[in-house]
Amino acid sequence: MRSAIVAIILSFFSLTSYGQETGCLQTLTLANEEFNAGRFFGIPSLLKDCLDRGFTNEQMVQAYYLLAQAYLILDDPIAAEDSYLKLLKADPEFIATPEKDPIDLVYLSKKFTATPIFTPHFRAGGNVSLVRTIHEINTEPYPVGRNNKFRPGFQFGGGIDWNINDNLSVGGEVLFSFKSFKIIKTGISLDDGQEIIERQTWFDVPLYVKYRDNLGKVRPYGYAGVSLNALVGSSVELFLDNLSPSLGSQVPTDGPNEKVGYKRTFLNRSLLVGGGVYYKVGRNFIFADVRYVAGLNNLVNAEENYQGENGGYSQNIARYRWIGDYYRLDNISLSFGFVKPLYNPRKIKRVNTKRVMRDISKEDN
Amino acid sequence: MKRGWIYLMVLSILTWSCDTASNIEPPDDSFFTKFYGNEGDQEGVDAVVNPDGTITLFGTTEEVNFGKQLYLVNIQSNGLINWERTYGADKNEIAKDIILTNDNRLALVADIENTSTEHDILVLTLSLDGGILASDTISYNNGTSPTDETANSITQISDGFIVAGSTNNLDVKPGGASGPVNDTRDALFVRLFDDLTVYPSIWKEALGPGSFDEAIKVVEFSPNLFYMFTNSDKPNLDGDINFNIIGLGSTGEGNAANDFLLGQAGSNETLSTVAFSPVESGEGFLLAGISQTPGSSADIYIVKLRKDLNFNSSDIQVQKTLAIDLGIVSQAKVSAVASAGSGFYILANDKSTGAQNFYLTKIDNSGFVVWDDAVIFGGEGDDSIGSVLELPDGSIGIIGTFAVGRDGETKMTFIKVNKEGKFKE
Repeated sequence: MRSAIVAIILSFFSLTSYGQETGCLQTLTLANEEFNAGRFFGIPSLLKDCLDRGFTNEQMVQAYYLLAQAYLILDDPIAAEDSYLKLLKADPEFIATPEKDPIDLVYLSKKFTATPIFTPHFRAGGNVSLVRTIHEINTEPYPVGRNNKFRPGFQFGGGIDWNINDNLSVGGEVLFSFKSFKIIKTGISLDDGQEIIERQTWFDVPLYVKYRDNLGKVRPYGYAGVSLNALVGSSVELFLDNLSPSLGSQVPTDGPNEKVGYKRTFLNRSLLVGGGVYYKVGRNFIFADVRYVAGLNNLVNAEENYQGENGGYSQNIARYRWIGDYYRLDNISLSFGFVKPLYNPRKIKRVNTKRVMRDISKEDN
Repeated sequence: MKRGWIYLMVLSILTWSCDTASNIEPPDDSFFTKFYGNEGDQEGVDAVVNPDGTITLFGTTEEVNFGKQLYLVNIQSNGLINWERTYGADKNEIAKDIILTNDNRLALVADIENTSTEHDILVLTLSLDGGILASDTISYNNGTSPTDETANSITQISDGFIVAGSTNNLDVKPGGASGPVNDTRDALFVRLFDDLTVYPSIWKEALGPGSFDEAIKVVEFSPNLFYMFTNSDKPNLDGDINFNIIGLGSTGEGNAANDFLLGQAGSNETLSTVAFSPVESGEGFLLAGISQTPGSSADIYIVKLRKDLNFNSSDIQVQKTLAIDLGIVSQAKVSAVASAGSGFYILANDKSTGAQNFYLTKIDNSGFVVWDDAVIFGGEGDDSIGSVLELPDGSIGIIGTFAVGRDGETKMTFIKVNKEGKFKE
């Protein structure tokens, strides 16, 4: 009995809603017919009820679009502006263009923008690091074979773009990244080999200027900037292989990871360049981003390079024949993320209509 | 205002400039640790700075089927190898000392190990590129049985060289075997002409006032007077081992008047090295060695003597232990060199913390330790010093032997540090 009552109540509300929706669609159709017939005065009152409570968002956009045009014709610029602002609130991505919209609406649109002031995003992905050796610092008094190997790392974090206009923005991020690389050396004492795996934890704060396309579902972008990078942790895994072919012996020396953060420069700087594409999903975006970060400074704290953690002579020099090169670290990352634009439809103070004229001229040509 | 912006821009550009090999000096030019040698074990014993600024390292390398060979490595001031050569036959050779002669040759001495208890002495003169100019072997027989001769140093004199060492052939010294009871070893000081031919027999080659005597170094003061610095257990100062300074005449013969002991009663004072003290540090000699009571920790013992010796206590400018606990070292060895500025660098084996390491410190001209903390170099294995030298740029060079890796394979090691003993410019 109780379930039957609930079902009846739900059916009532569904039908009411459907009826309202159907009615407002008819109202919108009627309003369009009135507009096309040149009867503008009655349109606002015709749409009022549905604007207050009946339109879907898409219908709302069409209704305010119609109203803005009607008020422009009726020479009521204040009401027209109000309608256009509400249109933008319903669809912040709406852009009036001379190609598809009446010219007076295009002019009106130039008084407004819905471009977000701030656009936050989150990102995560993988990276590989490239060692840029400045000076080789080792125990070998002769050249040895050397091979730098990629190792996978990952990064995650968030950022925010401060939008200067529809295309240009200044962005900043806070990222945690884990980077790693491997160096293989051969020809030590003729036959011996050495492997060094370094793992690093970074706290990166990139700042950049970004240019992006602002139309379409897929919007490419590119950016360049600088980054402050705090190397908050670093450890090495070392391996020395003592091969004696004439004796037929092989003695490996290995051990646990060792913290070498004290040998590293804490605060570092880099240049970055990157790009990717935004893909529009509803009002938001997902994106794929490729970034190259070029480390600018030597990551090695030269004062500590020969020292162990206790300040004495490093035991790794005799144990693994390892001191540590001077190097910069570049990084290539691929990230995927989510952007939620904080749309802010608003009237702008300085209106630039020259561009409209340019666009019209182009169209005519 | 505009200028302020320009400064700010320039500052920003400088701040964000890239560190490259062109704007960061290669640290190896100023300091490094390098290991020399290929497969097998190598040892570093001594080094000299050549007139062209290169450094020639002297030690041994062990090669399959050849045993230990003498190993000479010429390096640049940044440690990179210019050339390396080995010398020796199928017996073990044990490197002892190398010097640069005043006519720019290399002269070196080594022991040839015929058996573990019987050695001969090999003397070589080489050109600066390692080519052999002359060689000689010093050996003696007791009847038909070869005796044991070992070298400690080679010194250039006016007409050749004097090799200092010791022998268990007690008949070499004047008077033959009529030494003290239980005599085991005599100081040996073989004089050679410049081409390494042996001096006529007028030169007495051995001396043995104690039952144990070994010559560490012989210095020519004048054609008629040579200073011989030895270890001896001859009577007085309780009969243990002490430094013994002996004046030798033009024929190598000592006399009781030119003879005095330096040391402490109740402990062995074993001389390792004789360094020349320049005028600015008080012209004379710095004698450095180890003071140790058997079974207890070693300490560094130094004696600074004036240049013109009277062979009595008036010669002593400084005589002291440095109050350093070196632990019970298996190879009690000290090396010293005068700093061009002032004072002396002292290098010793240190086993106070387990493994044997290099211990480097500096003393002033009065024998007081200058550095707040000594500098320790080494790894988990037992490392052993060779010698310390001051390089032309004022930095410190140290040659020795490191045990490397889990298996402790030994490598000839050269360390270059600044004048404070640090890996800094």
